Amino acid sequence: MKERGKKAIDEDTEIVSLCKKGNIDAFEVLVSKYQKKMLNIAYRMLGDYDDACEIVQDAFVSVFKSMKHFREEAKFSTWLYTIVVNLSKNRLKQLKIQGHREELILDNPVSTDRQQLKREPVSGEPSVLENIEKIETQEVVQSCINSLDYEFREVIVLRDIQGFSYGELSDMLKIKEGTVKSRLFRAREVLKKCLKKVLGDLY
Amino acid sequence: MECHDIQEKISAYIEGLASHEEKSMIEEHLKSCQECKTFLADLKKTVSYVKTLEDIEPTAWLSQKIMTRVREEAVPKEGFIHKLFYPLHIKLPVQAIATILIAMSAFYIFKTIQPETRSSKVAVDEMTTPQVLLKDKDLSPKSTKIEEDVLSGSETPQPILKDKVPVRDQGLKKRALRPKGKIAPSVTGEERQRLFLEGKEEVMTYEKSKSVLSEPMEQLYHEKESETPDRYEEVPKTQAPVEKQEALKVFSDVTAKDDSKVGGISLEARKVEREKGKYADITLTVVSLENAQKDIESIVEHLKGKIIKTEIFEDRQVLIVTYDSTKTKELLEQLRLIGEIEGEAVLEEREGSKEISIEILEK
Repeated sequence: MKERGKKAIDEDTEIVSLCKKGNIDAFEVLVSKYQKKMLNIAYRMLGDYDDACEIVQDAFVSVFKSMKHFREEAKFSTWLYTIVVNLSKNRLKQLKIQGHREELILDNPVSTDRQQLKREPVSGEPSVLENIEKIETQEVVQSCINSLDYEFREVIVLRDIQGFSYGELSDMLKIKEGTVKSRLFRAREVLKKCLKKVLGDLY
Repeated sequence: MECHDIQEKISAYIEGLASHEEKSMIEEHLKSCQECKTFLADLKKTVSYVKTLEDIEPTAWLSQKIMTRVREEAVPKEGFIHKLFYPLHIKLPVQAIATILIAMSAFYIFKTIQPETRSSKVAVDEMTTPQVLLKDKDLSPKSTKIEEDVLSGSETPQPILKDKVPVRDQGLKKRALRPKGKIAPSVTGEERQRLFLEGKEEVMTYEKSKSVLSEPMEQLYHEKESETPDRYEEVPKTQAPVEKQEALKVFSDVTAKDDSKVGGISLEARKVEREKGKYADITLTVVSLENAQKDIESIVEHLKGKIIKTEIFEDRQVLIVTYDSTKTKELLEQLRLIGEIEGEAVLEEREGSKEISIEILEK
């Protein structure tokens, strides 16, 4: 899978080379193409919408600044996601130092801001009750993710939420595929325990 | 197969990533193990819960904000000069280079000035003991002779200028400049005479403009012990504007002091020292002065140097020589063939031409 990734011609090659020449419009194309995925990764990593927006901006600016140094060994998108994951991790560390995240640990997982509800898009036309239930479940899951260590959090976000392959995870996180596998296993275990604790039963 | 191993593989199994062997092994195990069955179910449920999380949409202003920041980032890249002078960062290249240049030029200036300050210091020390100057008198009757010759030659233009007060005033001023006053007038005259011969500029004035020439000549007259009657006539005339003279004296005392610091007197002192045998860079003791001088001339010529000046005294000669200082060793070796050398340690090999004085003494 890894090899295929390396061989595969990056769909962004052309536009990336334009960006390297300092073409800002070309960069704007990349921004609009990837901002959603970037934002979602950051949001699931951080659990906070404003923080996530902040991180996505920082990520794109630093990508623009270091565009010249980007050698096309990996796909541009992979590089982009690596940056946003790393920035998110740094932000988490920073927040941990500041002690902002105390309330979000296991004992009190459903303390997430109600404002979030408005931001969650509602798909289809399910009944209102179903909708509320769904949103509540999402909140619970997110708060459980927030309780995970960074290294568990990132594999859950990238694999189970964003659906990247093991190979891509290995590229982004600079770890071996075997490590990805075992880390994912342990992350799911911790997550399962958390969900069980909050929801009582998984069924 | 332990349950733990199975459970670890189940994670990949539910994603369909287990190998064929593993798959059949896990399925076999699950048939008999309730614990692992529950584990699988829980895991499946967990993953499905996570997958309920829906994507959020970025707001419209996000990309705008990003692009605003990116454009800000792109702008300051233009000016290279701006970048050079931009404060902070670690570079500060212009400032660093400027500092180094200033330091280097300061060092250079200091180095070039140093010998001068040293010699002028010595000069001041010497000037405090006027006896040194008196010694001169006996040492060099030859130069007194020269002086007299020049004087007699310049007698013709003198009368014409007699009535011109400004010139005379200048002469008075110069006279007042003499640091030693009336103690040794003849010595001063002789001293100055030699200085005139030494300093190129002043020699030039001797040759070229007669009006200027007459002035120091006149002055020299005063300074010599006056013998002829016409000189007696002159003296009262020049001293006529007494008040003026007085004022000038005050002024000139000040200038005289200044001069001693700078270079004028240091030159004199240097000469005095040279005559005492102190100042010459090299002292060469030989059997015959005449032969030695010729030898040195040929050596210097051979090294493509020049003898700038020759000073002849009763028992010694002082030669001022310029030569390429990379040839210092050669010069010293050649000189050693002529006589005994003292003071070669002073000479170091440097680039460029160098001026040294060689004193020749007869045994």
